[in-house]
Amino acid sequence: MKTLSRLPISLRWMAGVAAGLCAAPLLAQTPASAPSPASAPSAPMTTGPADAGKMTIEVQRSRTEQARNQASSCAVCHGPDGKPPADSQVPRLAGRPQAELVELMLNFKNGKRPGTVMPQIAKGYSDTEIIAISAWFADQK
Amino acid sequence: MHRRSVLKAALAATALGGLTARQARAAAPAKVVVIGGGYGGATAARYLRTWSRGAVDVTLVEPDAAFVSCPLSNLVVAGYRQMADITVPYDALVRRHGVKHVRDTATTIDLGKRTVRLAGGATLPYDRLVLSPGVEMQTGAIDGLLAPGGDQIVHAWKAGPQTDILRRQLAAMRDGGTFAITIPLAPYRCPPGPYERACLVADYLKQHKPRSKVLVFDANPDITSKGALFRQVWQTRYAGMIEYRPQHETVGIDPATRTIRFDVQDDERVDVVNPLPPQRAGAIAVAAGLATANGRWCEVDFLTMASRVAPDVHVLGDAVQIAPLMPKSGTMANQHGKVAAAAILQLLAGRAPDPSPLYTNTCYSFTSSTEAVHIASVHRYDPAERTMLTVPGSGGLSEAPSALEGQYGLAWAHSIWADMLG
Repeated sequence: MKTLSRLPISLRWMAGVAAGLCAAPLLAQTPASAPSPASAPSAPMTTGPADAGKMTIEVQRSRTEQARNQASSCAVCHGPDGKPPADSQVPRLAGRPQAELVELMLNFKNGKRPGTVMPQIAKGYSDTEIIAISAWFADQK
Repeated sequence: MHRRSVLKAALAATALGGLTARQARAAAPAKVVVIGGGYGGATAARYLRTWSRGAVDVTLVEPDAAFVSCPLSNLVVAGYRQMADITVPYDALVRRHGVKHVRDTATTIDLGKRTVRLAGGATLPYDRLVLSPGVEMQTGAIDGLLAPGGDQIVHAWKAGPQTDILRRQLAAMRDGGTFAITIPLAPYRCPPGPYERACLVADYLKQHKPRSKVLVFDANPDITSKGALFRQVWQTRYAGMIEYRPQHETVGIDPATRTIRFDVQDDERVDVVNPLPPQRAGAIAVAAGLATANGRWCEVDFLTMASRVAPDVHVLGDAVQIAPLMPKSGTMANQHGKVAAAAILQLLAGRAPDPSPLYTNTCYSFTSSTEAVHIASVHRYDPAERTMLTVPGSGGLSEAPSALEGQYGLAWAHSIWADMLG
């Protein structure tokens, strides 16, 4: 979680909310005055920091499942649950820190990190989606 | 889905007064039948079991004991890989994921009774049906292929015995001979695949029979995928070896003389002819009345992959009437399988499916035995258009072929096979 502090504060707030069930430690360090993030078109993000605690289990479940569904798309190259076969040339995603994955994807998206397919793919995902998908992979052991 | 969720779903359905006879048997697990164990069907079967934590009963109807991959099969045609390298048994799907594998062929679907009839005589009931029938090769559309000797002319566009036949025909061809591949009008399975095959056949010929030629007769007005990249490779690495002729629609082939007839141009006599016939959704989907787009492809609701005419039948992969810029690819069939699996579990639980499917297509083509190029795209559900649209500014192509992307192409294959069959 240390590297998360290098992210802009609005992203840190989004990281906490989008991570859903596994976000408790992040939410704890979220300042109450965090600015409202731009809402992504696909994520059912309707709560602000004040009522983040009132998130129902049902909403959390649907967010986690949506992150799971979106993360499953990555499996075609990165393996099921982000675990590629042992000798793969493609990196493992499962169990890596959320902040590390978020930073990688944002750098691909913003052109700060070169690559073959990843810069092109990263541009198709909102920051909120990147944060939620990264949280899901971080949770896979 | 946990048993608790099943009960909850049953209770919810009771409260709504919409309880069917089948749902009333609350303790009985829902039955999903999957027809076809390719990139779409195997993925759906695996994810229905994984995401329901084993609560849903999944039966895969697939006659073969092992999956044989179309992607990478052009490497086998050119002799750079063996059939064993592209063959993966269905064992793990059964052993690790609890999928029931029925080695039979589905012959008819009774949409009213919700049953599938098998060639062996058995009848399987379903609550939800996943249909991943692949494509039917319309061999009869090319005059002569059904005539005596026509079985010596192979498309090898379904990986399996024909892949090996085409490899042997290429290996037996004389130096100075001509290998011809003919391409139907789009849409067809794997848009860049024919051009990849031209590259790999040329790579083999360059090393072993350097006076030979590859002719590409394309019914389309231009290369349908990765055009600039293929053109670049043909002009450099395979200069003088590959000849591309667009707007050549193949209408007939004489198997005895291997003479190709076109709708407009003069005949061409070659040494090995590899025709890709026009295609449509697999025969069982057409027979069930699901191929509502020109009688060829199945229109679906991309939120659930449910057929537009049979809501409890989910159609996947190449058989689907594609969304704009959505290729008929193995990766796309895999993504369809996951959307269908997630939606089916939601629907069985009485909940709304995920309203915003979002997935990526990544497709590698080999330009030589070791180098590859990619095309990538990100597809997001658009509620207004009710289809999948590519995200503006995302996706793209390789700058040039590279050995690194060749490695990634092989890694893709091993990861996706683990994903669908692991």
